[in-house]
Amino acid sequence: MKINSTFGRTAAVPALVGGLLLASACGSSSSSSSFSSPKDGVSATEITIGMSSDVTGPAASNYLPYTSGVKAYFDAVNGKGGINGRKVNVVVLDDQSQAPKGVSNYRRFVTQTPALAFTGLNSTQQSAVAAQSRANNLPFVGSIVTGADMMKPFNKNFYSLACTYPDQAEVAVAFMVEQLGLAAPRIMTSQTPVASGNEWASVVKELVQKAGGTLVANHVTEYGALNEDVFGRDVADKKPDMLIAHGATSTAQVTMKSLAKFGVKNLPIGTAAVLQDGSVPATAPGVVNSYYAFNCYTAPGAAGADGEPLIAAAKAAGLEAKVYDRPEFTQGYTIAMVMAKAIEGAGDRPTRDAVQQQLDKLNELDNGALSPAVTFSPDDHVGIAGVRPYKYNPSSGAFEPVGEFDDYAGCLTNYYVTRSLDSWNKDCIK
Amino acid sequence: MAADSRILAVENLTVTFGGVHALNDVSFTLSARRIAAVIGPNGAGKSTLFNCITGVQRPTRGTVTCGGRSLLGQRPHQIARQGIARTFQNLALLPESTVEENVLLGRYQHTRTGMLAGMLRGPRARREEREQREYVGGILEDCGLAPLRYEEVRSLPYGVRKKVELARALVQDPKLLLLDEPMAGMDSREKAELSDLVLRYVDDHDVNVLMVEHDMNVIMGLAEEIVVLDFGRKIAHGTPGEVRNDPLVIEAYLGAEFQSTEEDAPEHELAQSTQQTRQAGE
Amino acid sequence: MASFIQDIVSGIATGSIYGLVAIGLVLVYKSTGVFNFAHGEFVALSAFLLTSLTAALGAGWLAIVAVLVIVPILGVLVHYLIIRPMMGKPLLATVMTTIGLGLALRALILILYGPDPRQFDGPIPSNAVDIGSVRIAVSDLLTIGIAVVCLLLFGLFFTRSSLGLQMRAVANQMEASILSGVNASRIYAVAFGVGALLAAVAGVLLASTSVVSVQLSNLALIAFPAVIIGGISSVQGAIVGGILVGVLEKLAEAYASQQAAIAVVYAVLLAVLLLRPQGILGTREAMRA
Ligand SMILES: Nc1ncnc2c1ncn2[C@@H]1O[C@H](COP(=O)(O)OP(=O)(O)O)[C@@H](O)[C@H]1O
Ligand SMILES: [Mg+2]
Repeated sequence: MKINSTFGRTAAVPALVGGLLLASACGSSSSSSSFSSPKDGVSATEITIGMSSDVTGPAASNYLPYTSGVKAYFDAVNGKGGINGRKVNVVVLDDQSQAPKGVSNYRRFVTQTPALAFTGLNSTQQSAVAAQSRANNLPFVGSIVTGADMMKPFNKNFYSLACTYPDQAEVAVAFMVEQLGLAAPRIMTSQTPVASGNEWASVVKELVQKAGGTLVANHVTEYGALNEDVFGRDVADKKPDMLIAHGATSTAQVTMKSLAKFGVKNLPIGTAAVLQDGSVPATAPGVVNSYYAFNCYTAPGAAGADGEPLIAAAKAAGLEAKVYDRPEFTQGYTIAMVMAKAIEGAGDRPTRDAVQQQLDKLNELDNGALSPAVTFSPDDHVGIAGVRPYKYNPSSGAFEPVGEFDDYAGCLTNYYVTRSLDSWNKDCIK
Repeated sequence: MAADSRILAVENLTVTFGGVHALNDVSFTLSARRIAAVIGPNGAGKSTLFNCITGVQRPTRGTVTCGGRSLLGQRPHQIARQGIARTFQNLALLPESTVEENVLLGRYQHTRTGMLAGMLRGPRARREEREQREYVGGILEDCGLAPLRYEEVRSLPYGVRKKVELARALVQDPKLLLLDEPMAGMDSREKAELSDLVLRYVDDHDVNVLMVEHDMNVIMGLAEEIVVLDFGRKIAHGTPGEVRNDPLVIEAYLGAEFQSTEEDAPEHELAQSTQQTRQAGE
Repeated sequence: MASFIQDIVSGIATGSIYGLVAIGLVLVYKSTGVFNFAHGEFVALSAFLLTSLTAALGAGWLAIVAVLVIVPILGVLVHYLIIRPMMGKPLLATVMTTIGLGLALRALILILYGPDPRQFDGPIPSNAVDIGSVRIAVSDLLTIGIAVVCLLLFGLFFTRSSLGLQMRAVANQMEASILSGVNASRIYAVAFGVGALLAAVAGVLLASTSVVSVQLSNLALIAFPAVIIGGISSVQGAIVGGILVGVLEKLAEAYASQQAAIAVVYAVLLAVLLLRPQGILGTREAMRA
């Protein structure tokens, strides 16, 4: 079954699910194996992968490339005959970044329309399903972001494939402070009111203090706010040396507008991976003097030869550059690759348990310039360790990597395992 | 009596609400006489009859024709534009607008400028508006309302408001004027004034009046022809003299209620008919 | 003190946009009895149309004029095609129709424009002026100015023009107006058209000072409290309610947080509902023009 690549139509979702049920009901034709396990989302001919993503909500511009990356990878796999003879069917449900929708989408894939593996949800939605996800056996293979509640305490079913917020913050603070050469930097932060935003803001605050600086203020920006005038006025009043930002494209653009309104100019901005989006600094050109995003994924166009297969898959799926030439696309593609690797390793009888055993064994899966290598072990599910800065180039509109992932390895405290920022210091960059 | 179907003809008119026959097979044709009245005890169906004529109430059965044209199936504002105007038992004015504005409302049907042109206020629209205001001024003069032209309606006494409503109906330049209890709540001096006004207007214009009124002295003084309703049925139709001596009428109405003319206007009536209007699709 | 004044100005500017949207809601509600839950989507649609028309016509000014013409026509069409056939049906059905219309418009925007927010580089400047120690955004002053002009024009239209009189008449004395020969259906169409025009003005202002995204439709969620606080039957109340909500929101945001702002607005809404259910300027029986 083929899914429309521009699934921006909510109406398509029931149709997809209906079609899926139909397909699994009558599908038992030509297969190399007669094994099926409906409760694991596996029929003789087909494997169901569940996904809950923001398709039409406020963070859609971040989640659309990610969703497209997952689908493009599996489209390519299906084009080559699928995995061990089974086609992969990615079912995407729209959650519009709303917690209740995300929860019900996730539950659906646990039992109602069982999936062999799942990906998706933002950090708040992840918090909302954290308890459930520990109680079932559905492999939850990452999302754009990794919420702290999924990792603490250890969750055997959740496999993180996002750069964690502590990782991003550790590199971001060290790099920005070094760039500006300030002994006592005055920093402001912004965040959206989601779990990852809280985590981001609190880690940045601690790191700024460790670097001898002060956090002047943190501002929480609400999704869908018409303006951020109070924040803009505050930045104009307090004149911080830089802004370290978290958010979604839409909230960040609104913030840019309000900064411009109050005459803020030449502000250095460092952002979490989610704001690696050229439309943010382009919103108000005079406001930003340098704009860096801290990420563990490289957009296909900036990854040289390693990005070429991604571009080919994206073009085959009819995607536009503004959708595929983004780190979220690489991330989705990588998540799909990791899933496929584990499913393939599970051989002829892929079940949720078998897929998990394979994921736990995944070691140093090389991803070239696209991301650091992926490694899981049975007691460490942080798959990606490594973050580097990407600098926005206003003339090309692209983000260019600054150095290699290794250059910044010294900044990482592996916070989700060590639970401490003690080993961090501001002179950690090679 | 010489019936003249060019004025108003009602045939087999029936309106039922659930099990209630508000009107039950009522037929009559007004004669050429200028002022007619509908009388009958409370709940007899008088207001329902008016509502059928103005298109606010769709009859269950029967026909209503005016000037030889069927009124059924026409929308209320179209019926109004054929020259049928009415006043209400309970005042239906804009209390916070001026007398002139309230009366002007009755004049828009005579405006030819389109909506957009009116909004843009071109020279033609402005000239037309001036003409309408002049016409309104004339009627206000006739009604003795000229000095109150720019007063807000809410500041005026009840009797004057009744006149404002009458003026709004008169500026429509109606062929058929329906007056629903025009004298209710007035003292005898005001009643005399209003009767006089109606008589003068009828003398000067080509208009027929059909009125509902409880004050039998007023009815007998004004009406040349009377239709009597009781429990939705027509029980009599004729000159005041004929009706007064009709045994059925005496039994049903006059005998019992001849004296009690000052009955209160039921409060809920307008609300009810407003609801009907919405239901009628406007 | 300076920042307090700045926040008040921001609040009035944001609030005047709420006011424009709120008046549109009140106007339609007063004359037709329908609470138009698709009103916010008209705001978002106007903003998106503005971006396409700017691309097509090349000039922001032309596009603004075009939007201010096209959107009211859409409003009139919505009345004739969708609302009018529903008149006289149970209220709930009509309400559901407007909710459905809103969802459909949202979907339409997403299909036509995709989920990415867009920009409109309009003629409204994005800089600030310093008045003493108070820094005020030029766009805020312009927004307030434009809103005031719109509100005055609307006030004149509503109280002085013959259409305005007919609109008030239909709103307050429907049966009598119709029986005086006023074509209520046409007046409703005008109400929808004028409401859409006000939504379009809000859409243009927001496109110029904020980001063009489908989230702009959520504006209605904040305009509803403005309407209720001001008094659902009062046009002046809608303006007062809008500005009050804007200022409350900014002050709460400055002294607490943006999330607190929403709570504060709804707390005031509750208080008004308890103490003065008809709203600040609403009247119980006779409705104010
Ligand atoms: N909308 C309605 N729904 C139900 N019953 C009605 C309605 N309108 C009038 N009636 C009933 O029809 C009858 C006639 O009412 P009406 O025409 O108002 O009488 P009148 O004006 O002669 O007092 C009464 O019994 C009244 O209760
Ligand atoms: Mg009556």
